[in-house]
Amino acid sequence: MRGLLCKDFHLAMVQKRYFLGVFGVMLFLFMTGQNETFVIGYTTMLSFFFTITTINFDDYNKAGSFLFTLPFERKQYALEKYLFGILFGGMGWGIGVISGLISLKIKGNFSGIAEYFLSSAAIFCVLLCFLALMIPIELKFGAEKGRSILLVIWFALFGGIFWFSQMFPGGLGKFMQILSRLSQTAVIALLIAAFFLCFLISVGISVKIMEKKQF
Amino acid sequence: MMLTLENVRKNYGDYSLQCSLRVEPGRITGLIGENGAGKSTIFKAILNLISIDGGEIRIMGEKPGKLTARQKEAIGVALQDSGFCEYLRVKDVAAVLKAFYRSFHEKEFADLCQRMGLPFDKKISGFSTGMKAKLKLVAAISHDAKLLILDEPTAGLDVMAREEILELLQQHMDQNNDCSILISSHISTDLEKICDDLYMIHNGSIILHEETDVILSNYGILKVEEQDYPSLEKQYLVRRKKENYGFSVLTDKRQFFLKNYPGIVAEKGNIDEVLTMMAKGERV
Repeated sequence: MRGLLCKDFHLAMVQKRYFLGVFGVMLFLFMTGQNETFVIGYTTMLSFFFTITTINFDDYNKAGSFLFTLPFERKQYALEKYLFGILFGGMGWGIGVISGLISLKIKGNFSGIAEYFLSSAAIFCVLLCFLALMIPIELKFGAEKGRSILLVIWFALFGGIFWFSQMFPGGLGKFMQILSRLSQTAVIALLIAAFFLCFLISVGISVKIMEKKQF
Repeated sequence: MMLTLENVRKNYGDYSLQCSLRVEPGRITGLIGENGAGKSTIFKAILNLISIDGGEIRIMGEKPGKLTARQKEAIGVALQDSGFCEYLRVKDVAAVLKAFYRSFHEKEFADLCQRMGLPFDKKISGFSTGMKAKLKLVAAISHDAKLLILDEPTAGLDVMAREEILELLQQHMDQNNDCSILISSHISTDLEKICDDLYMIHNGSIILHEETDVILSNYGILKVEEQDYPSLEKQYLVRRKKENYGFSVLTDKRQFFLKNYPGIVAEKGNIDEVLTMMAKGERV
């Protein structure tokens, strides 16, 4: 696991121009008065996206065959991608949050600081869910096919919601009513539980994919 | 035994691999065959990169899929068409190897890279084929591996680069007597120089396993006219092939024919000829 993390962080280091570009755009967004939470979303998203890029790098020029002869177990590869994603995405998120705080300080706008942190945490969780969706797709289908599959999943997801709303008119409204009757703590606990469940399912699927993968 | 393959089977559509093979401690075992014979499939099966349809593989007593990360540290690998991610530089590779292998010799790795002319700060994508091959081998031998699995480490290289790689391997074996190597190549002279024993593979099957010295000293090609063929001692004939002049015949007892058939043309066999006869010749 240590070796895999080391490899991915070294891959990130050789891509420093990319990250300097991300940092430059972040500064530009702040200077043009963009909303801080939007900028946090931007840095976090690109940091998470780099995790997916490392999967493509691992496969680039058939490098995957050799990689899997190195001393680690197949399931460790899948687990490492999640860990790297959390660490690296966390770094991007942290930079975004700190930069946002500096921006708020410069603007002298600290009134909604609690909301700022809540929004930042929500952005991290939502994007982590996106990562949890992307990792198994990338591991299974690779970069090219993965993009198409993701598109299909989005369509299926929105199609499913649309179908549900057509089949059970008012169903979504009833669901929202039930949620609104719960306390804020219960809603947060429910969301955290759902988030962890999705994440664990994603990890389980990725481990299975890697254990069966042929090179 | 460092490595054993017992009746390993793998089917890809029309293609079928079926082989048994052994690599003993302290020995260099070669696997030779034409392109597409099944060498890389065997390597992939050994390294658990593909599943097998039957038989059993054991590396240092363990099934490849059951090897722990710690056990895998004792294996060094160089594959023909795959290596480190080419976005990395040699210094990144050194750091990654250090993180993977507890017994990685950082200084030895750096010295060997310098000796082989591998720049530390350049991305692997900018390396020539020879440089990439050298890096793979240097990485494979720099962490006290007990078993080296080398798939075509000299393929696509010029004579000088091939010599350097073979010298490096020989030097490694001299310094590590308990190390074993399984090496494949379609260049017979490379294997002739370093291998203790050779497996010849054709169409997914092992067609000959013999000590390299025995092949080079005992095997030979007899060239006989058609009317002389029936008088030859058949028990020492392995394969025959129809020629314009009669038959070319592969024997594993060249000395016997030189002694007992004065005037017979009995050329010393080389590995390529033996392989060709074994693959294309008719069983006697």
